[in-house]
Amino acid sequence: MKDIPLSAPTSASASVSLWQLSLRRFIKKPSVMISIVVLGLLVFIAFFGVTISAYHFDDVFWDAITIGPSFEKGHFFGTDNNGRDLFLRVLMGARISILIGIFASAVSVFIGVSYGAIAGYFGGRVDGIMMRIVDILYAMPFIFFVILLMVFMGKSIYLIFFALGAVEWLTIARIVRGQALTIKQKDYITAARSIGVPPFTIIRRHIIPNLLGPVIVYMTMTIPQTIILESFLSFLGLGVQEPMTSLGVLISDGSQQLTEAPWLLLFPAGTLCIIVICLNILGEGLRDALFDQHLK
Amino acid sequence: MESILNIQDLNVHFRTTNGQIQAVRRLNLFIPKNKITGVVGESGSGKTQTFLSLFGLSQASQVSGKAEFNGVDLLSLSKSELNKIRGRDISFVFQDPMSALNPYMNVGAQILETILAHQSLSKPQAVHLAEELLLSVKMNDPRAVMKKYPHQLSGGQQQRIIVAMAIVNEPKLIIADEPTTALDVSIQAEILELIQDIHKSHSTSIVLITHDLGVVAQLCDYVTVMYAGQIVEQSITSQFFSNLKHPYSQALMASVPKFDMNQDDLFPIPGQPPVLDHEIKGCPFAPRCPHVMAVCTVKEPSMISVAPNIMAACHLYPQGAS
Amino acid sequence: MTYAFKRLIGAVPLLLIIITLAFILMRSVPGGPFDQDRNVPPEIEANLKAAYHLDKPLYVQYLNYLGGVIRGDLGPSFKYHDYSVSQLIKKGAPVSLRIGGLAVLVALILGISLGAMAAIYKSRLFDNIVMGMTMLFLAMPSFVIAPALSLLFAVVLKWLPVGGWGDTPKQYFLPIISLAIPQIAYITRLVRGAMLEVLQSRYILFAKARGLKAARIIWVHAIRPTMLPVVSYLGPATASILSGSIVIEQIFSIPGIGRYFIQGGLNRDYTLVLGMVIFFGVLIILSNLLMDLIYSGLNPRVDYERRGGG
Repeated sequence: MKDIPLSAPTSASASVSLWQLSLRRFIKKPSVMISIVVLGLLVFIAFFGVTISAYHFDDVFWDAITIGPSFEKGHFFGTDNNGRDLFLRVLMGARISILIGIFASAVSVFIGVSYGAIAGYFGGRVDGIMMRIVDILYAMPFIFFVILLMVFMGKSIYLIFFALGAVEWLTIARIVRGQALTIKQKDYITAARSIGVPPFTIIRRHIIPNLLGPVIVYMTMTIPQTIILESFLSFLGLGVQEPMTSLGVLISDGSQQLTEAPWLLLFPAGTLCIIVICLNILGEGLRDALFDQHLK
Repeated sequence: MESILNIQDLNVHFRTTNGQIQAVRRLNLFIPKNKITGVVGESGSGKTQTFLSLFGLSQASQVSGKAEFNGVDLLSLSKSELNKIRGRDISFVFQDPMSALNPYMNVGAQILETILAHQSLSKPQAVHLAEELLLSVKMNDPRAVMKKYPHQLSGGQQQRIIVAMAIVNEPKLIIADEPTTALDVSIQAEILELIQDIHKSHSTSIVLITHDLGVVAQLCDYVTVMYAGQIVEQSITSQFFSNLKHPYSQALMASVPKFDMNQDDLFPIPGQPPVLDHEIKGCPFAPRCPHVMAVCTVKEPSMISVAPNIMAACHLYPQGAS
Repeated sequence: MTYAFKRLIGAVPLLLIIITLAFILMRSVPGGPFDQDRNVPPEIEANLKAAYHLDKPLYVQYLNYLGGVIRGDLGPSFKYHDYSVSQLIKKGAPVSLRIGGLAVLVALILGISLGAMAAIYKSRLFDNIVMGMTMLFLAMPSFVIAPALSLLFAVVLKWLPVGGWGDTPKQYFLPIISLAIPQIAYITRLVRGAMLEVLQSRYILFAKARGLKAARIIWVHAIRPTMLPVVSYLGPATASILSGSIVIEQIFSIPGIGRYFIQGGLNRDYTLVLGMVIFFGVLIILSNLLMDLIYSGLNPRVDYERRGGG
């Protein structure tokens, strides 16, 4: 039949409203709304509650050693075998876990986006070699190398950022490369290239901003994975070290006193699960809102 | 004239993120028995959805109306009753043969399962039938063909296999949805010829959904024109092209390039078909119609006989009592 | 068969990279096994000297190490004086592989059936419950599930033993379920998504149009393409189950290889940790290879392209 244009060419204002539309669809989901509220509350308490509390997360209550959750004594989550308040420790642990999650994901997004954008933009031989490297790295037992690194290099928190970031960047590099390949074909890139804009300026100014959607989605989905990985390392005693704490450290402590003091496991584990579930729901919600325009 | 399929007041609705779409609206359609009926119209006019929804194959949120096929109302049947009819009394030939065949199974297995779903034969008997069938659609060396996977066959061969599957249980009606659109021009003719042969030898009723008026002229006994989820004209082919009644049919004809024509003689239809997410007042073609009158935007025209063997839904023709 | 062979050859460089990286790490770490100022018992010292010819140039040492790995000799353990690393692995591997293998099996069976059912009953109660559960279990890594299950079934209900190995089959239950649960959740989601996509395809519509039974459409037509992403996930799943087994074996005091990894790490038993990394590396590479072969077996088009037919 005839080719009849269905709508006017997309202009800048139309793309803004497209974002707004997606955002509205995202917020409208009840599960997403609940996750935002729960996570927001948790982050607020974890970051401000600990600061304004009269006690430090490390303070020892000599009169309350290994007691269960109790409102009268003011230990909502109970105390551990050193008489430290578990509520404060869980909040502190949550804060550290979230911070590590965010920073390590940021590291992986930074590496992944730069790598993927360069591979996708240059294409051809460069792309082939760069993606072959990613393929090889994918097949590596990476988590074991991270453990190895922690064993050999000592247990610093910066190393955790770097190690976790280095593990998680592969997938985002692939996604970004795919997107960059598509964007590269667009007319405005051809135009920019034809007037002699240097490649790295094009990548920085045109390609990377256009990758914002997938990157935001992927970052939201990477943070929970990173938090779990950090907890895993801490659980093994290879991550965050005492006196500093994280959810993984607390879970590890708790699982060793399962019979005597089950609350030491349940509260940190519950907190970890809530954080991860909320982040997973947000990530999936964002993905559906931004990319899934299927018939419902 | 006897009908093989008689559709009355068919409505098909879809639910989308942007609200409800009425893909087919109050459609009445009569498909004569032992004839080839062409159904034409632009993409999105609802021609495919009409037939898929009748046989429980569409993802519509709501299908209502009546459709008498071979003495039973299709829309009152249960899922399992419909499933028995599909493939046995009615069969489909789809547009793109590559995507219609399961790429993970060899074609022999797919033919055999079609036979065994509806006929109680032993496996060797079914194999024998399948081989005969492949020969009848002019596939040489059926034994070798049956072992092949779809991607190992050409588009024409794939479509022959689909046609073979369509006739294997000797159906009363075949619905061919743009059977040649995805094929090379040279192969198109072969497939059309095959369909014509089947019609001649088994006098099967056939519905040919197409947007190619040339195919209609060549093959069909009757023509039905669809626009915006409704029938706007129905006619016997022998008179259709010489006596176009509905302005949309005329516009459709004028937009077809012919080779003795100048570029300037091409008349694309102005405007766009309506979006069917709201109730349309009056005639759906009114905004694009060169003969539009005041009544057209107010009152929906009904299908009336405008000449012998021609029916149209247009206010240009006196609407009578209704 | 030639394809399998080619893939096997292709895996060799990968192994070489892993071994080389491991060697470099071992050599470059201060206080490491090859450092002059380390504190190593004299008998190990003697063993190391003999095994790696520390007086020889670096590349000779590397080749020696490589040669050892090829012969299956991963050197002496620092901590377990009477054992070599290979002996330790040989002792623990059967236990770990059994747990891991059973966990993969359970995850596959439950994940595929739950995922397929959820796709079939999309947006209905069953689907919503399954999706809710998987969302929950995806957020629960093995090291959270294991103590939680052990608290419930062993401490409170006393149905199952808290840990141990080899006394009763009941001891299998908790470790395997703890390892499998996150994988079940992931595979369920994977299968559901893939199945939903496949069910949208034209050949499924055409199969329905031919009047095939629903069961045949799902379990004959739709299942094969649905399995493809699951098969490609099995490589990462193996890695994830291996790392999970490290903590699971610790929690349930199971005499597998996982606990050597942890103890080796905490004791700075370098040769043991490196040996484990290489062993895990080989396992993961082999499982990736196997999945690759299964994948091409499932997909006739891969086979076709590979033979140069297209």
